[in-house]
Amino acid sequence: MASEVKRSRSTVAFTALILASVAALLANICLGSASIPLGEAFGALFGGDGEDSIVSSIIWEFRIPRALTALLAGAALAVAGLAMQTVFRNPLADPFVLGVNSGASLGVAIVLMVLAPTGVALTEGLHLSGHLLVVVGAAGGAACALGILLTLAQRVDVMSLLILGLMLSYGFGSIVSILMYYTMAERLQSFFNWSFGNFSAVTWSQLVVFAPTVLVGLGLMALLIKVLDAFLLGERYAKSMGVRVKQSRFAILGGASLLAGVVTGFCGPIGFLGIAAPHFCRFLFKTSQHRVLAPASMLVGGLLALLADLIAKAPGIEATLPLNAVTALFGAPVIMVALLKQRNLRKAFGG
Amino acid sequence: MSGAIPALATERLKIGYTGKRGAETVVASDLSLTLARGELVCLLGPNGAGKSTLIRSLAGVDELLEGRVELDGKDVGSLSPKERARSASVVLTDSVPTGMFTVYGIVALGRHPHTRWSGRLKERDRERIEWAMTSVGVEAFAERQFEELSDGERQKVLIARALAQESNTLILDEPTAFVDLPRRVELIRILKDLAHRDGMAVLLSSHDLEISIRCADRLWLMESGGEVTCGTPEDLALSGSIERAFASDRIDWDSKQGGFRLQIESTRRARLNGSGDAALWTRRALERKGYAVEEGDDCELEVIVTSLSENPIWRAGVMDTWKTFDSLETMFDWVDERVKEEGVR
Repeated sequence: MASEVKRSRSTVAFTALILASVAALLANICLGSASIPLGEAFGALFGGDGEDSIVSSIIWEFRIPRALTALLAGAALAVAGLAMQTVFRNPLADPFVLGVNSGASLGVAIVLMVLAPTGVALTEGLHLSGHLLVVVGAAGGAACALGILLTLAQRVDVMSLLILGLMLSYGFGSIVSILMYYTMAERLQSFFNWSFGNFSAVTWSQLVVFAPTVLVGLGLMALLIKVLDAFLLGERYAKSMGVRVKQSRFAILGGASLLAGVVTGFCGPIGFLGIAAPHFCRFLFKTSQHRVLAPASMLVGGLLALLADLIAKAPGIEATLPLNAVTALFGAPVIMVALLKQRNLRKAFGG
Repeated sequence: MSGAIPALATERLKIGYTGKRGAETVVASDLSLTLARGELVCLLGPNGAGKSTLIRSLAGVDELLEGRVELDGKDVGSLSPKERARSASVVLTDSVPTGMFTVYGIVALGRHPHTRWSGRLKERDRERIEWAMTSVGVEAFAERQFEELSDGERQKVLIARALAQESNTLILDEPTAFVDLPRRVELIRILKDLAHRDGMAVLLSSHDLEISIRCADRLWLMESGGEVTCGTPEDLALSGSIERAFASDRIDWDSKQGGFRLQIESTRRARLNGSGDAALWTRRALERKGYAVEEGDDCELEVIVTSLSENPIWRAGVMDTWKTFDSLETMFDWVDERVKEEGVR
């Protein structure tokens, strides 16, 4: 009986999350520098002939790809964060904290500031091929950082690993600074634009690459849900239950860096979603099972990304805010409150 | 049981770990051990002998350095990780997450090697989980959070998780550590039932000698050098193997009493006359006070235990002065006083 109560509780929570995500998606489509009434937006979406072609093109050309990007990016970062928290058995693990984002930044900095001036696939204006190079740089940098962390992970405990991740961030950051110091202003500008974080840089032509990559990453994670559950008891228990620990850890962290890398490459470094979404879901569903947490984190991550983008667009004001400033501004206090309210968070990970 | 294929067997097994640059640290080598279905075996040994390493090597968590381990007659090297997990399950000393997990959730993790990729539980999985929880007596708190349980209950839940794995062999590393004495006895009783009633092969490491010696069908005695001697507890006690294995731990095996005594330096000698419970406890008190209990004539202290209308009374003599007492406490107060006086004189 208790399990039925619990099941209905999750059903209610999932329904609420889906409705909230749909509402946020619609709000993102309607609101922006120009507000579009819901009725008109629906008209444009579901193809009445006589609709205003300007409204229709704003919605189809800009708003929808941007909203879809936010949804996918949020889901990807949340799942990457969830997987890393489980594997590192640490509540603070996420792509940002462990230096994966700085690795991605370095990769992008190398593409935009070192390779581009030497004539490699010039990225002026960031057309698709240029953009892909940025993504490859970001994913490569992310994988590099994660590879270093994984090598170190076998020697030190998780707390030291977090600090090592932080140091890795500083190290990568300093190389980026040096690159910036010796780079021409206009190239710097394209790196700056990228580093503020932005969902609007992804247009339809890029979305055809971005969306399938994210979906492949999420699909890979879906295959690993059962293994992730086994990892909750620690690697030794996982091994005793027949998990191929090394291969699985490689696959999980590989998938996480694919997700984090591709999002960072296309949208820039976006912090806090990866930590905040899984914690919110654990709190909401009172479980550690990935069968529940993974889909819930995707929904919450997507929802939070849409809300953050809504705030960044600052509807009604003639201004926009850098996206990663918004996620940090709202994400940091939320995590602080969560940590203070739940002082035994570490216990949940047997750390 | 002879003739049947053992649930677990090792052949010239070498265990230990590989350090940097492939340097081997050998904990034990040339181990040929067997564990049959339906028996409870305790792995005993002093701290640092390598019990945990042996347990983890047999459970497939640590890599073997050399030799082979067979589960149900099959070399583990030829088994897939999943097949191995179906043959042997384990309870480790590793800390497990305590938050956000129901008891049912933890036990259900044991079905890992039996479910398909999605981890979906079928009717058969649920039955086995129910059985596992009932076997250890935690079915009443299936929906409780693991975090809220006491140490003893948590240990039972972890045993249930291992049982849900549906293996013939159950291997446990120090399952009774951090558990109070009544729970400890209860845990051992549960494990004994699993061996004798359900026909599992159960191996547990322990440093709880008294209980192990009383309950185990056989002992594996591991000495500090890594040699393992096998046999029934009684044979090993009589042959002096238990005494030898623990020689390094500064505790003395007392084969007359079937227990260990603290190795307190005996500087004085006492003679004890009497029999029954009262004499047994008097002997303990004397040993605790640092007396060697002997038969000789030139003892500093002589104690005669008799009884007066069902109650024990003690007559103690120091330097030919005798006095009668109705408790050991008052007797030792007087004896200590007398001994001090004699010493001064």
